[in-house]
Amino acid sequence: MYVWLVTNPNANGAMSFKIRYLAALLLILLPVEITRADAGREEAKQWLERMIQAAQSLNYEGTFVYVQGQNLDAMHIVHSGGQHGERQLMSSLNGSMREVLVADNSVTCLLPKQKVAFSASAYKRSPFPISLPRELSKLEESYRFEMLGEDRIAGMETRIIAIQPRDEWRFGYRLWLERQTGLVLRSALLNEKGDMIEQLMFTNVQLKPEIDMTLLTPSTTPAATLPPETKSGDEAVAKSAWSVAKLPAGFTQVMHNRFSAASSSKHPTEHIVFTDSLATISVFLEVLDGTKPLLTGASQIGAMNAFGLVIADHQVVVVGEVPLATVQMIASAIQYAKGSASK
Amino acid sequence: MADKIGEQLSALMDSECEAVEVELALRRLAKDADLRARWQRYHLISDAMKNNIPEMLDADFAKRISKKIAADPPPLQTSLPHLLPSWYKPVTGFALAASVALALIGLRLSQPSATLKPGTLAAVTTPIERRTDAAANSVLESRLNSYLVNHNEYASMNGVHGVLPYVRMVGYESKR
Repeated sequence: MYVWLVTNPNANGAMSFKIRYLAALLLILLPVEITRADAGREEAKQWLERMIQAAQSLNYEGTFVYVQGQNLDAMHIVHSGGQHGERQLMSSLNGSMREVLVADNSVTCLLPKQKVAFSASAYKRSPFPISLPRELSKLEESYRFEMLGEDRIAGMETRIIAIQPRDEWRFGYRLWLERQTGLVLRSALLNEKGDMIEQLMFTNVQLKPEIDMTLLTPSTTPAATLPPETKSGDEAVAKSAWSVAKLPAGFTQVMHNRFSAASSSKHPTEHIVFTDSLATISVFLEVLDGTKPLLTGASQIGAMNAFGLVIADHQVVVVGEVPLATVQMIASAIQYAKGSASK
Repeated sequence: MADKIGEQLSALMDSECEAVEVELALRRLAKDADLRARWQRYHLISDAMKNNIPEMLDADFAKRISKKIAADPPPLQTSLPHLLPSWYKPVTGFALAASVALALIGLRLSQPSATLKPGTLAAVTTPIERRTDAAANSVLESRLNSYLVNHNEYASMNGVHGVLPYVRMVGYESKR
C-alpha cells in the first residue's frame, strides 16, 4: 500500500480514493478477523464453563487410562452429581487395589492391606460458581483459550480446547470435551516445549440418568470409618520472616499457613501458596536444626517440578506443576529477614 | 469392662467385629491413649507370634505420624473465598486423607512386608518401623511426600483440573 503511494505521488485524486477504499476495506475486514478470534475464545470459555458444571452435575461410569512419564495406570470411575451432592468412586484396575471415594463432602482413601477408611471432616462446598465468566476472563491474563477442532474419544465426539500459556512460566493444557455434555474425556498437560507430560483419557464412559448407590461403595470394604478428627495446629501467618521478592507474572499469593510437621514438631513448617488461577506453586519453609536437608537443587516428581535450597539453616522447597524455571525463579527470590518474627 | 474392650480389640484386629461395634471401638481408641498403646502392643504380640518383627523397633513412630496428621492443616477457609476463583472448591480435611495415603505408600515401599492395621489415626500408620539402611531415606521421603500432599491439596481445589488430583493421589504408588 505504501509502495503504491510513493510510486504515484501525483495521482492525488486517485490516491485519496484508493486510500479511502482501502481504509474502508480494512474497516470491514479487520473486525471480521477480530471477531473470528474472539468467537473462538468466547466459545472456548463457554466450553470451560460447561466442563466445570458437567464435572459436578453428571452421572457417569467409565474407565480411563493415566499416563505420566513411563507409568501407565488404568482406573474405573463412578460419579454421581446433582441435588443429593457429589459422590465419586475411583478404583485402580492394575497393580494393587487403590480406591478414592469422594462422598458427603469428604475424601476417603482406601489402600491395600489397610482396611480403614479415612474420613475427612465435612466442609462446605461452594455453590455452583456464578461468577465463572468473570474469573475465566481473569485467567486470560496468563493463558490464551483456543478451539482446536474435533476428535473422537471413547467412541464419542469431542471438541478440543487449548489453554495455552502466554509466557514460559507455566504449562499448557489441552482438554477434549464431549460435545453434548462438556464432560472431559481426555486431558493433557503440556510442558514449555509443548510435549505432553501427563495424560488422562477415557476408554469408555456411560452417562446414566441415575447411579446405583452400590456402585459407589468401595469394594475394599473398610472395617470402619474413623470419626473426623478435630484438627488444630495450623494457623494463618500474619507476620513472617520470609518473603518472596519477585513472582513470575500472573502469580499471586493466596495462602500463608504454618503447621507442625511430625518430623520436626519443635519447629512449625510455613507453607505459602501462589496461583495464577490454574497452576499452583507451594513454598515450604522448615528449620533444619542441623539435620540433613531434604532437597537441594532441582527435582521432578510426576508432572511437578521442585527446587530445594537451604537459607539460614532452613530447608526451602518450592514445588508446583510449572516449568522448572518457575520454581527456580521463586526459589531464588525468597528472602529471609533476620530478626523478624518467625513465631 | 476392661476385658470387654480387650475382646473387642482383638476382634477388631481379626476383622471380626460388626460394623457398629467397630465404629464404637475406633471412637474409643481415638479418645483413649492407653487403649491405643494396648492396641499397639496387641499388634506387636501378633507380629511377634507370626515372626514378623524387625531387628529394631521404633515405638514412637506412630506417635510422630499421628502428631503430624493431627497438625496437618486443612486449607485456610477464611482466605480462600476471597483470593481464589470460584471454581476452587474448599476441601478441608483432604490433607488428612491424602497425607495418610502418601505416608503409607512411602512406608510400604521401604518395608514391604510390614502390615498396616486399622485403629486410631496413630495405629493406622504401622507401629513398627523397620530400621533398614533405607529407613533414614524413607523418613526424608515421607517428609517430602507431606510437602507434595499439602501442595496437591491446594491444586485439587481447582475444578478445571477435574479428577486429576485424585488420580495423582493414588497414582504415585507405582512410582515410589
